[in-house]
Amino acid sequence: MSPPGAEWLPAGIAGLVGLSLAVAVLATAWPRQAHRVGLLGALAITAWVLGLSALFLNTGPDPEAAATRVALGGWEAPLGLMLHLDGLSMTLLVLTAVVGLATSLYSLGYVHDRIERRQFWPLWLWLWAGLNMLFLSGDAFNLYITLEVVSLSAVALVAFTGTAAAVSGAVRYLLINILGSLSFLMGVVLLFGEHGVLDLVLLEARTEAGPTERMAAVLMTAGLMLKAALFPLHVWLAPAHGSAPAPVSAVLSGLVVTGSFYLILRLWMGVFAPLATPAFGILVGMLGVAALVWGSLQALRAGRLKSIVAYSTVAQFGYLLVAFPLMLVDPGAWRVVVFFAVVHALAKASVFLAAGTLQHAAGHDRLADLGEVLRARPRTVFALGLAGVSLMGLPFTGGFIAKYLLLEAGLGTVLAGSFIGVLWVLAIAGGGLLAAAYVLRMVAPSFQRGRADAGEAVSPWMDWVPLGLATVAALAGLAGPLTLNTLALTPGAP
Amino acid sequence: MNALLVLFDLVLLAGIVGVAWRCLASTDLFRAVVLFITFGLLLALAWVRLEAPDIALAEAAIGAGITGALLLVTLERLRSIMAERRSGRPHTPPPDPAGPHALLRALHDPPPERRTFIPALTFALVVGGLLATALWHQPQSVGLEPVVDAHMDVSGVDHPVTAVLLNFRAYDTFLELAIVLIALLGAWSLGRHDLIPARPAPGPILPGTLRLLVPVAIVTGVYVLWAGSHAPGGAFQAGAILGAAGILLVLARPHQLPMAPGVPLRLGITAGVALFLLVGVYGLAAGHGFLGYAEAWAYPLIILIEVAATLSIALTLVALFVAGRPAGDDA
Repeated sequence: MSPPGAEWLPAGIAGLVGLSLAVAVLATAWPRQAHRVGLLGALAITAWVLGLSALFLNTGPDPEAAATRVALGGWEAPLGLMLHLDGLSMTLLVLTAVVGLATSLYSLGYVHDRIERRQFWPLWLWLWAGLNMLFLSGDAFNLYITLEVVSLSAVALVAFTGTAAAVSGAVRYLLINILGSLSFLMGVVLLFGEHGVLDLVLLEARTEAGPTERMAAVLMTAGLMLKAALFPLHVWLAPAHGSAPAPVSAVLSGLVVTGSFYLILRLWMGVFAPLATPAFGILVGMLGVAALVWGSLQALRAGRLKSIVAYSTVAQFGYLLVAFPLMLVDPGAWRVVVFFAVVHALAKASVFLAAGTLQHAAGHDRLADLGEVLRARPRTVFALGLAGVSLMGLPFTGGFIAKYLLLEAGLGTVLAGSFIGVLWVLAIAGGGLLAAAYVLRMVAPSFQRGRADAGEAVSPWMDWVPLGLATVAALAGLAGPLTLNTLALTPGAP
Repeated sequence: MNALLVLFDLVLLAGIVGVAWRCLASTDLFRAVVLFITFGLLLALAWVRLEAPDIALAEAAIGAGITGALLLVTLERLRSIMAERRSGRPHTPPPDPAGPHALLRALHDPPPERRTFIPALTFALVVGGLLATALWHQPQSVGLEPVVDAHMDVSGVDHPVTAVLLNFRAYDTFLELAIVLIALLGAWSLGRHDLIPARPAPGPILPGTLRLLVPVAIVTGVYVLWAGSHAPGGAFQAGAILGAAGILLVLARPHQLPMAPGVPLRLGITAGVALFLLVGVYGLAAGHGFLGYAEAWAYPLIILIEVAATLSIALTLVALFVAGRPAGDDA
């Protein structure tokens, strides 16, 4: 006896893909009204995702019953391709909806020029549709195509302002993305050649630790690490994220990077699970520690507000790498990692939005000359600080819960007798201190005495949306149990 | 396999590697582009030898043809911008300040240093060697061929590749159409259209050739589209051929390019994805699944989608060739 509403789940999943695509296509065909289409679409997609998550949670608590696969066109795998919804994808869909809605509202104020609006909204709606499709895809080749939709629209958005810095950042971002995609595609081809299927569930059932799987794992992981800007493949991130328009930076740092990370996690929990060895975990963890230290130091040195935020993304993603060895000792730790990624995405998006407001008001984002605007705009500074506090992991914020759970997992490995666990614990604790240093660097000028000048007027959207999203990020701690329960509805995962 | 074919394959392989190397090593950009086009044609031949005529067609039309044209026109634009900068005064009306100039500055990085050569070569050899080893161990897999063959009678078409692209994995094809569209949106977001630098072709040869070529291209394009249901062909290839005809027209009359009207142009470039999506959502509502067809309706719907997709692809490719967004789009 299935719970009420379960029969609607497949239609809801396909409908979400259809809705997000329809909004993007409509905005492309009707650019004059693109911003109105975008706003209504953002509300509709968010409402749809929330409704879907209610249906999904209602089908629990058995993960096998809750996870739903939808055959597109009525063709089951291996012939056709399947959409796939489980706890992991549901969590990231909700995250995308929240950040996407906030970004859309913010963009109403940020992109006000009539001609810019016509260009911005279709690209942004394609990017959102691409992310939704990426999280729902259950097919290796389809994942490649959705990754391309995401990267191509993201590249176009980075270049959006058309200045030399933005175009140069975008061209580099494009080359990196193509390299990453090709590497991923080669891995897919190898897997298909060996097993003759593309569906992830079927692949998972057939893989063992052979040479093909090893090579495919290396290629696909390297490609995705490049796209996720995981250390040491992060060098492209700061120029691209730093020069993009504020709403785009928010989406790139909050969602696009998280999307690539999601895929790494998904693959290593499924298809490549037999390949994970402790030595590999320690190597990845070491990279994570290096990312934490290096990214934080760059953030402490950077002279521009948005560069600081961009480098902090490199640093914060170090935590996600540090979590890999923890997951090998305590397999259940993966849920904490996802929760951390969710909180980071919320906080990082609001920091970028707040930075965009300050940049718009001051006309630049050089930290040294930003004091006047910072002192005159307490609301934005509060948003910056609140989201920053969540990034640092001070008590009662989402970041605190996430880091606490990570530390707990780290101490668990130490107690389990792993000597190297001490390093992970030190890294997790030390990374928080470094984060505190660069967050304080951003807000410190507002506490100094001096002239206050609000600068150029900003629209109410740009004034309030960062604060709203920062509040959500801080309160995300309250949603911790709900998130972890949702994540538990992932079949096959511990 | 007879010895002559083996010899042909070896020569082809050597040609592909040699041309690729020359293309990468060339310091003259024009020569590199021409070599790139040659590389695409040789690659198309290789696909024919691998018994993949569909990919061969697409490679020849899009990989060699359209990409080559795009590269050549980019080169021409770069040259005119450089000449403009050297002479110190623009001879065309001042273009968008955020347009191609910014891109040129961005692309004008110093050439790679000599000492990156050895590490790059080592890296390529290691990765290539590992790939070859992995492929060596792979069993002779038949992939999904038997499954596709078993379902051909309900697919609505007679050509397995079209059945996979437009029916079994229609979602992938839809997204590929979307990617072409997104590429154009990205190009348009960068700036306004400025005309391709005029190089008036003296004499009657270009217009005369056009009068002959364009009708032939249109007939070929329509044939390739129609043939897709039972033989190699289909929307992407047909769209590329029609797009090539459009590019020839654009090239022949750079000054009298009619101002593209905004609304029909937008509708034209989105027709393919819009129609595809409508059919898909209808399939969901009618109970055939998202992007599914009723068996009896599969053939007409597939043809309808392919016609719209062909038109959109052709328009998009021409628009990409013209590069910036047309003034009509801002009205």
